[in-house]
Amino acid sequence: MAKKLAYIVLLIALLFVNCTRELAIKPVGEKNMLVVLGEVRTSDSIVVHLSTAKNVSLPGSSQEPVNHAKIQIFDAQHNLKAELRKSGINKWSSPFIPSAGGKYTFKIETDERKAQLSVVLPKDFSARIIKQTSYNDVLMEVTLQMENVGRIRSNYVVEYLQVKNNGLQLQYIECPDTKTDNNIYNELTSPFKRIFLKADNSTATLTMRVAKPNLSEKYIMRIKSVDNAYYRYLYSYEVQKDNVYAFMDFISDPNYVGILGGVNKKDIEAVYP
Amino acid sequence: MKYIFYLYLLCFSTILCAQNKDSILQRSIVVQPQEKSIKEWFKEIEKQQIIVAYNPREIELGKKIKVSSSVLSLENLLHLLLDQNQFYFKTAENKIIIIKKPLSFTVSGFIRDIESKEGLIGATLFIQNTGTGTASNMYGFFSITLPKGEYLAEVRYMGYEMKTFPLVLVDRNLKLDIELHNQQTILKEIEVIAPTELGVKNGDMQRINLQEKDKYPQLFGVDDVLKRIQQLSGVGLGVSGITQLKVRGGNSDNNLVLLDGVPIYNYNHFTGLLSVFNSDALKHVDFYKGTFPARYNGRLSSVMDIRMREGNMHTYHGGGSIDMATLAGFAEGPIIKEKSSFLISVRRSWIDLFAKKWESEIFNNDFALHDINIKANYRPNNKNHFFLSLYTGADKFWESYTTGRSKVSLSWGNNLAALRWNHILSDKIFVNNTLYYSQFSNSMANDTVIIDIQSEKEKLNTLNYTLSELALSTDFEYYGEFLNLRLGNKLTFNQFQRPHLRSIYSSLSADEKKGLNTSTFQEMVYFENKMSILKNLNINVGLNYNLFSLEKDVFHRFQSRVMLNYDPWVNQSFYIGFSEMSQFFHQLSLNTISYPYEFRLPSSRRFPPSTSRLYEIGYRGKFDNNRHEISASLYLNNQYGVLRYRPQQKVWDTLLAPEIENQVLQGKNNGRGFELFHRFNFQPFELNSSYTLSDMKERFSGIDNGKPYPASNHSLHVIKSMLNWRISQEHSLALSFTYNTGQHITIPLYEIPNIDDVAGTQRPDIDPTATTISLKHNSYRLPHNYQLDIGYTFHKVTSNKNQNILRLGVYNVFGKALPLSVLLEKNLESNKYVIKQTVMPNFIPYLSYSFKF
Repeated sequence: MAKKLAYIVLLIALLFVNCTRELAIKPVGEKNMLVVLGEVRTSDSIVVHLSTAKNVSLPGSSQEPVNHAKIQIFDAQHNLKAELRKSGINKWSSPFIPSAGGKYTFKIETDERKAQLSVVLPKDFSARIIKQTSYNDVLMEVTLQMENVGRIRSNYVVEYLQVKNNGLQLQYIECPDTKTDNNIYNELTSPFKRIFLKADNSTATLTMRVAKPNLSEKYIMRIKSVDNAYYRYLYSYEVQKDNVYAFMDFISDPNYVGILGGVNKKDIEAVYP
Repeated sequence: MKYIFYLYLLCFSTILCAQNKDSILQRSIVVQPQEKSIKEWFKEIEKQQIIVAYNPREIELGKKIKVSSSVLSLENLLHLLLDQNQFYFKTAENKIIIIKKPLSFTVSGFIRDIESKEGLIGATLFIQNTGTGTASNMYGFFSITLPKGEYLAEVRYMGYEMKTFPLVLVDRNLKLDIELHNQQTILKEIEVIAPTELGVKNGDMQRINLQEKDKYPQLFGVDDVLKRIQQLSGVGLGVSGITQLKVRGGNSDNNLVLLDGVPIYNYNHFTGLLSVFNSDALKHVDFYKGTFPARYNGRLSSVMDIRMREGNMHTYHGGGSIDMATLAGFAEGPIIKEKSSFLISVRRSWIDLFAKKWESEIFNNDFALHDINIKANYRPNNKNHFFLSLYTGADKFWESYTTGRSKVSLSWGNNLAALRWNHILSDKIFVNNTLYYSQFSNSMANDTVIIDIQSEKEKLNTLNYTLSELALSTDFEYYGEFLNLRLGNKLTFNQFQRPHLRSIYSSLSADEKKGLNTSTFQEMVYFENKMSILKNLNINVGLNYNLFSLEKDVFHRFQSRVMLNYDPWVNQSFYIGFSEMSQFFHQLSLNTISYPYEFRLPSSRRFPPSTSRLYEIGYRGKFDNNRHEISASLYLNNQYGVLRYRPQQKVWDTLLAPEIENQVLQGKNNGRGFELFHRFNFQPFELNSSYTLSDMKERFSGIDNGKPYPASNHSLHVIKSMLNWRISQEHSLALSFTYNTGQHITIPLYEIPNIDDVAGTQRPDIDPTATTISLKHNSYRLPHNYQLDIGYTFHKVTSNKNQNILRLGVYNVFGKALPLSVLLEKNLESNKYVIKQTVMPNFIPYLSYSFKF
């Protein structure tokens, strides 16, 4: 009897271990939140994506394209530099090429909302490969050097891209370099899709390992110098791609979600070592 | 600037205490420098149109005094003529009255339990019809200085019979040992003596009555002092049934928990379902959530000063208990009668003894916790008293899956040793010297077994961490006629072993390369002074100075503590206080439950000490012959330099940044709140209710772009209520209800296109998921929580003073208890997020039995 009682008591105590309660997220936020997304690059024409966000707490909410909008670009002196035109689903573009170091304001008006975002493009820099060796049969080790004479601090995001018929595909990168945020914080899973490097000096180096390019395929190393906010966004984006529950808190304005990254990019074609 | 203000206040209060200066005393007197009798000098003064009134029997008028100045103030002249220690002066227009100071005598001694001879902490001694009194210190010592005369003294202590006796002070100081009867052991109805007039003046200090344990329904039936502290206003529950304390929005590591004056770095057993304090061994608990005395420092939010019993010096006693989680027993008695005694208390979990029944061929596990308290003391004479306190406690959890060679192993524990010497230097000066050692260590072995290539031995992927503290302190207490002064000094050496992986991979750790051991040195000096400025206005000022050094990083912290008390009527007190605190060891924890992944990081140049500033104003009072007790307070609590893990760190997976400095963010917390407490005693019922309204915001540069956001595990409104019904001397019933508004979490709110789609890049892996962003960190409030517990106690005291106590009840009879953990889960089929809470189930019965002889 005493033995039975002990078992019952223990079972009661063990009830603690696994009792879960499931709750639905109650409706909050807006149904048709405007989303403005874009990478504003020094060497490319401007493309901005407009859509609405899907509110996960509201049934029936989904990402919808924005059909009517007026998007204007102004420089720091408030001069109108360009007006974007619709060039596809969600896509609005202009042949205007912004200059390095320039500050631009994007004024967006849709049928329902207005948004205003500013972007500062990082100043010009140079990037080159200073060392390239074969690491093993499939990988090569590349050391890049970035120089930025005009400024001390820089945020670099490095991508290894395969040029495909339908666009550019990110390739995996191994990175033993302990100066990178990938290794400093250990929050991204190796092999990486993007390498994040904050440089405190005008000259920075980065060592990484990438797949040796095939003779029949074209690969490029893209080195982006980006503004602080966009650097944080891209980093958080990569963390979320590793962990679906790493939500980003990135609302700059209660009326819209706006991410316009200022980017100064350099592309270096990868060659077989 | 604040230090200038503080010095000003200190000087100001001293000036206020001083005798009033009157212009007549400053009047210049012109005299012929020569030697005359005092009577002749008085005549000289009267020539200047000043009447001198005195009692000729009290002054030696014929005594010759030589005055060498021709012009001097009346005050200076009188000081030349009369001894300042014996006379003081009062003025009225052109009249000066010389009054002889009454002779004063000091009454000092100990207030003790009559049976065990243990000192009673905080017992009050009142001198009737004078409005004066004193309280015994942490060792039962008291001292009070009174003018010559006859008085009636009254001594009170919670749960003890009041004692009154005449005090006759004629020609000498008195030494008294006052002994009180415990009401429980004399078979009397327990009358809860409410805090006395002196107790009211302690601002935000709460004294926990350990004899009230029958009033609290307790999870598992375990009497846990920390769970009783959780019933107080301003103390957040965090998680239901867990002894993590979140005081005024602070984190669980911001509480200074002292066992016999020795800090305990981790006060919880595994998960916090139990604290490390075995109630059999406890004697006294003081809890401060504000108006901190200057002698305490090292944590930001609260102080818990817990004292162990010393053991009965007269007879041998013992006891035991069993509850749903543990078995416990204690023994106490004299080593040398009336001179020396001991107390041994042991507690151990018993579930593990049966858990082996569940072991199978593929699965083995084990869990155990234990606490051992030992205390011994020796009193060779009434001037010296030596104490030895020892504590060791640990948790171990281990499981393995023999098929997969996978193991999980957790262990942690505290070890304390303290040697104390009390010495009475004089009737007014009490000295305490302490040498102690405190150690906390934990280790967590993660899933996999690793084969060490060099030793070819299996090693668990273990994280180890140890913190040791060795300290020597001296405290002086001076009980003057007008001042109550405390001075103290403490030297502390800490050895800190950084968390490290004990596996083959540890060779890559930068920490290991640098060396794992770090030593710090800390010097603390403090003084505090309690005095009366006016009849109903008291001030308690203090200064705490700390020097903390870690290699070349040296920090100095001067911290002021001020509390003003105004008592317009008996049992009514208003107070205003300011306290600064600092914490030199940052704790990194997962916040919700107590788990062996709690590491401390010493302050360094990169992470300077965290500090807090607490401003508060409050009221405490009793009405209707003490049937109603009300307290209310408003506070503002700002904490600076606090640490938390970066939100992206995968702490549960132990995949962290190699350098601990890169695992964390440093920021600040801003809290403010209002607290209300009401106790209504309507025999045989007693109703205790409290309400807390508090707002706590955190601000870290890496979260929400550095904007303030609501703190995690924090509720805006908290209501706690407890009704006790003392059915008879032996039977009592208790109902406890708590309500909390929902806590804040971060939820995904919007799905937006991936930036790769916008930037014209494709990912190498198939990734159909959109980017998810939240509106604001911790902006979503979970539903509110409430809980009702019910408990019944049968407490029988037999004629030979043996006690039998049976407790049974139901924890969380109905309601939605505060969750243990909250997770978001995405249903991939419906593509919807749901919130999953791990919660305590409803209706958890408990049963416990204890006995004492």
